Amino acid sequence: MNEKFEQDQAIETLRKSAKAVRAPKLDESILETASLSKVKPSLMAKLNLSRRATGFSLAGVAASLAGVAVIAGSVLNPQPTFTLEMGANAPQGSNKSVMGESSDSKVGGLSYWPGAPLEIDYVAGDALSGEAGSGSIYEFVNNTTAKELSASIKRVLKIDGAFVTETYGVETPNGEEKVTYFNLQSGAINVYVTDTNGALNFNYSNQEAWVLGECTKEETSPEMPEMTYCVENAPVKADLPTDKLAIASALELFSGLGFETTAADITVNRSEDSLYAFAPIKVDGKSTGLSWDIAWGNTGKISSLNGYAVDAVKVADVSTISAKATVKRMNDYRWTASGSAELYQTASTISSRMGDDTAANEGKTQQILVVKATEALGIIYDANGKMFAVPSYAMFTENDSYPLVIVSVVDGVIKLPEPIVWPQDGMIEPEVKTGLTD
Amino acid sequence: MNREQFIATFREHLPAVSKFLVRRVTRDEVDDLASEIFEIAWRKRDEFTEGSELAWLYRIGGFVIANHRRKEAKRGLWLPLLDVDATAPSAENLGLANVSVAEAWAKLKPSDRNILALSAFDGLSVTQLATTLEISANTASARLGRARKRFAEYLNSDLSD
Repeated sequence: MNEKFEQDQAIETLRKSAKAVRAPKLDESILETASLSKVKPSLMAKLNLSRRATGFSLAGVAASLAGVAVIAGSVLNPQPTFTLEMGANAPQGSNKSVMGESSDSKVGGLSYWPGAPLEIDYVAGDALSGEAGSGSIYEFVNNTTAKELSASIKRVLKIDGAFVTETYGVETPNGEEKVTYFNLQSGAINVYVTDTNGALNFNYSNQEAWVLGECTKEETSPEMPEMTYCVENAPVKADLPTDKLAIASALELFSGLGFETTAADITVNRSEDSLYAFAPIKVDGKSTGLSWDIAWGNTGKISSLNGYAVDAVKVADVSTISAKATVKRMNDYRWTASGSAELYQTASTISSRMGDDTAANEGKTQQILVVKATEALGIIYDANGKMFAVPSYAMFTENDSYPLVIVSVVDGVIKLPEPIVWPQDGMIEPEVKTGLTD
Repeated sequence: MNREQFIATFREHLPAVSKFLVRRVTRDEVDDLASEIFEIAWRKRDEFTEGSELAWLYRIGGFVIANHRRKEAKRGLWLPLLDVDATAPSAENLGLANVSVAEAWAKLKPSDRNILALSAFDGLSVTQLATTLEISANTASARLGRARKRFAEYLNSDLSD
């Protein structure tokens, strides 16, 4: 069979196999707002600045920014006086894609994949406990200042150069708001420190921690034979520290920057040419959703180091619902929180559910069994951008190793925001073009 | 280019950018990331050439998604591949219903998935691929050719098993 024909057939099969894209309609105000922006967007990304946390809002997403007010009267102890913004920090792979109308118990048909035709109904397995319990809500409070943290980073990591403090104005519906960050660039090293996204945190990166091997295979373009380019590089023998050394190094650096942990709490992941270690910030023996992490590139140099300079302070003791009862909340994305790094270590990237024939199931509801639930603290933001750890369950379903972290605080403590309602009439069907060339 | 011209020029690309994003991120991230793409486009509005707007937006989109995933990785999801090529849609993103197709897609290198997705689903020509990926047109053509070949081989090998 002709090779090109075979390839065309394969691509056609690929296109037909993919689901129709139902992309949300973007409001033209995005363009208007973009042309008014003053902050450097790249910095927004580097600084991990959530628009929710900074109060930056755009037409079309305003509905997702509604706060969550605490309702008095149904918790064990004196009421916390904060408001919460739920689901602002859910992990990838979670059930954040929600369409449909609001109700008390279910927001609408959940789509596991963007635009998936399936609705998902989570069912509690027999192993899940029906016992209610109690737990605590913690607020993350900065344990130092951005200036002091910046100085520690410079000293501990022995970086030349000086931090630059800059403040940018961000246009919001409520007027201009200020975003402040500390940045140090020294050769290939880049450090950002900021406390504008809910908790004081920093990011260190060194681009020289990675090197590419020499080119071992060149190819020539069929259209321009005089031009060649590299398609394969020689593998680079990685010069990585042992696990023991990595843990010792992590402990020393973390401690030097103000985070005390133990070797037993450090998890190390190793690949052929990289090494990654992390340790959760714990409170009362439990991992919060925040962690410190460090990675080494194939040169053996530290490629990244990230952490939060915060303490978790208890603000309230609350009653919690059972794991079985929490299953009902899985159909409402607003109860979703983000979990600690350990929860995702064994996660597979491709769900076995992928084998389902979604086209044949269009319009149907798929039942998914929740087989295990473990107690966890989940991270959520309040309406003011403050970060909290709240009692939750990590819910494991029969087909996925990614757990969904669902808040288990009893009803009445947290008032949910209005759900996002996707405009059904704004959905766009795909227009697939064929052909290789102009 | 003034504000009115910017809006007039990029208005028609809003649906394409939305589709580009929804294949690569979750639905509720689309608005935020689209905003970021257009903020960057506004700042760099004097750098693109007429006719290449969409490919140029996709190039920015690749970096925005890569940065977004770095941010997610920092929050606990360690992704070993955090470059722009790793922003290619996964089999899950595409909702590939056919198991053989999904497996063949998963076997591809991220760079192959990226260029194939931009061609097969985002409809980019070789010239636009070159602009998006910041490579020459002949390199884009060769890379696309190799990605097509590999995908066909993986798919056919799976089907013949």
